[in-house]
Amino acid sequence: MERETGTVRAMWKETANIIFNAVVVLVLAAALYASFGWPRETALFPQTVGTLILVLACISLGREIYAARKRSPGERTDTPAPDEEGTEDLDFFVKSVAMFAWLLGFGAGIWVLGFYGAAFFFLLLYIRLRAEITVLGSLMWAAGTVATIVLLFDVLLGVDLYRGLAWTLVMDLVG
Amino acid sequence: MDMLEAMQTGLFILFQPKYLAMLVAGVLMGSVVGFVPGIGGVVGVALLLPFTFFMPPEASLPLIIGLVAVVSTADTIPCVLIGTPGSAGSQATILDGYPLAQQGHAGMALGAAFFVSGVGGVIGALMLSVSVPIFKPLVMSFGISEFLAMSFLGLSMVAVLSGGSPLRGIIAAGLGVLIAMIGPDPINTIGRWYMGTPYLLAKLNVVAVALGLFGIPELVDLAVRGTQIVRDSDRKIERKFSGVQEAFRHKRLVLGSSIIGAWIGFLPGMGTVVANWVSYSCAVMLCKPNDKFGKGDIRGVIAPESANNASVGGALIPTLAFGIPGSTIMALLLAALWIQGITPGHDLLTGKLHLVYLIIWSLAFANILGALLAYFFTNQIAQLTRVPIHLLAPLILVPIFGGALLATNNIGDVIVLLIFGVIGWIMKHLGWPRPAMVLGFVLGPVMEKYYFQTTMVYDSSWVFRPIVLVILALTALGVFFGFKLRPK
Repeated sequence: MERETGTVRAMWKETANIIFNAVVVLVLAAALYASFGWPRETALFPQTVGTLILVLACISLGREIYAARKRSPGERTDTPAPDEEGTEDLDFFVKSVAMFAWLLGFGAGIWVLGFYGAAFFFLLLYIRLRAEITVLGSLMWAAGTVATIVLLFDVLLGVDLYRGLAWTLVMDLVG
Repeated sequence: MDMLEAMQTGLFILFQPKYLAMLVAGVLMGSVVGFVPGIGGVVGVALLLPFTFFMPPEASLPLIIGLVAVVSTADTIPCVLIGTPGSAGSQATILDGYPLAQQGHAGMALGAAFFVSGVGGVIGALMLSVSVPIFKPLVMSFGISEFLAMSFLGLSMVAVLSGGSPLRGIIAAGLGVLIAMIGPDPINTIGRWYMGTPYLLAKLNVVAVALGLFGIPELVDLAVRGTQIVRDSDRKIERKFSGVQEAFRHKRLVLGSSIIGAWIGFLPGMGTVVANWVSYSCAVMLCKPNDKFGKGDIRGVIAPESANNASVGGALIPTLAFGIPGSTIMALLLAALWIQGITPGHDLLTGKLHLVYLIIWSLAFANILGALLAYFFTNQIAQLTRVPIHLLAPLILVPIFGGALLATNNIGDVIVLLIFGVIGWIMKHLGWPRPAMVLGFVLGPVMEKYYFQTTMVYDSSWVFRPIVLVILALTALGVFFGFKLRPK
């Protein structure tokens, strides 16, 4: 069981590495192609570095694919932990995706509500749902943190952080 | 400005209340980021970077140096108490620090660690100070070609030495250089790879990139993994003074480890991680008897903790003298200097020598202050382990997003932060070195600028200048040995 789950993990990691390598190669190739119309001085340094790195990336991709094919199906590439169950990595990946979803939501919130509004709602929801603190406690943490950030950025540094689409719309309507 | 005058000016600046307050703020912040496993100095410095837009260098340098100096002091606390390194530069300390705590000697281990961290940091600052008159004539003899060659050396060393695969390191560094090319070129100001987006017509924001590559992945992993760093932290840490006494008993070990740490810090690509391990290994090899190492030998705490603080002083030498950052933290410090309009090398060592000594004094005093803070407030700092991760993580994430926005106040910075957050997370989990990418990003524009200037003056014959040849030969040797000696 340990051998099987470790092998599954190793295969996933190999596949992920091959995909990442392939993406790097594609992006580099596309970037180099896009640079062909530039004037000489503009293109010289990026094309020199880009060509070198593209060659190296192709070598790296080739090595990853060769190593993956060479490895026998039952062969492990890492040492199993005593208590691993095989679902650990999938669970970790799913939770990480969920966490990135929170961050994406926060980013979208900044775009719409502005930084302070988004920060308040992000903190309120995250602390309430993930830290499982009471509603009042979550409100206080959220409000206190945003107040501290307003003090730091707005009052002390005199920086007016991004206001968001909603603010712009309201100002357009009012003004 | 001569050196003595610069030294005095630097000290005078530091002791002005508003700049001293910046140092104290940096030390406090460094204590927190060093203590919480998974955060580290890189995230701390990246968070401070946007604030440097609004401060003069006399304020921003003590703030950043205060943080950087103390991370290696505070990170010992989780090492000893819970067997988890607060930052990567304290891994070796666990080998003897944690067993000591399990044997009831946590106070002694921490007392020794804090004391030697302070001493090691001061020795690192001293070595930095001594190196200024030594390197200044060398730097003054360097031209643009030599600085270009040094950039290749620094970047290649970090690329092959950070992470297990030199090939991936070089690719990551090259990608960082190319990402830095997005935006207008320095000669014709023609937009490169901007995809019709006005935001990309300005260069990518270094703060958003650095925070994305380092801050987001660490916090995502922290949030996914934990509930609290540790549940049981009611025990009081006592008898720390016995650790200080042990440090005095082993004063030669303290001095020797500090010197090792400073030298290793000087070499690009090494940093506190290598300093920590090499000094531990040297202690095991040279100290007799050595049968207790790994089972709770106080020398196994003293050696690595002296070295990792001293390595910061060593790492500052190539950063300030040649503009070659040997680690991610140094790359971000370099970015902070450029934000302030300060160019390392000639500019810094001639017209702004007082800022070099401000950095040296800040480093020395921050280490002393950080050691005292950690020593007297260990129990209070240790209470941070009881804060639930799901409370701590968002409280750090919000300033990360705010910090990314601070420079340009453009929503594009948030998008860049998120994109590089995903890239950084993937790189972290697939074993691609992120420091090499950040270094490439920071050094890329400088290298291009040097390249054009040097070819305008020397054409292609710049490669054959004697010092350039020596540096390029060292680069080739470093890359060769980097591939040869990589772990199999």
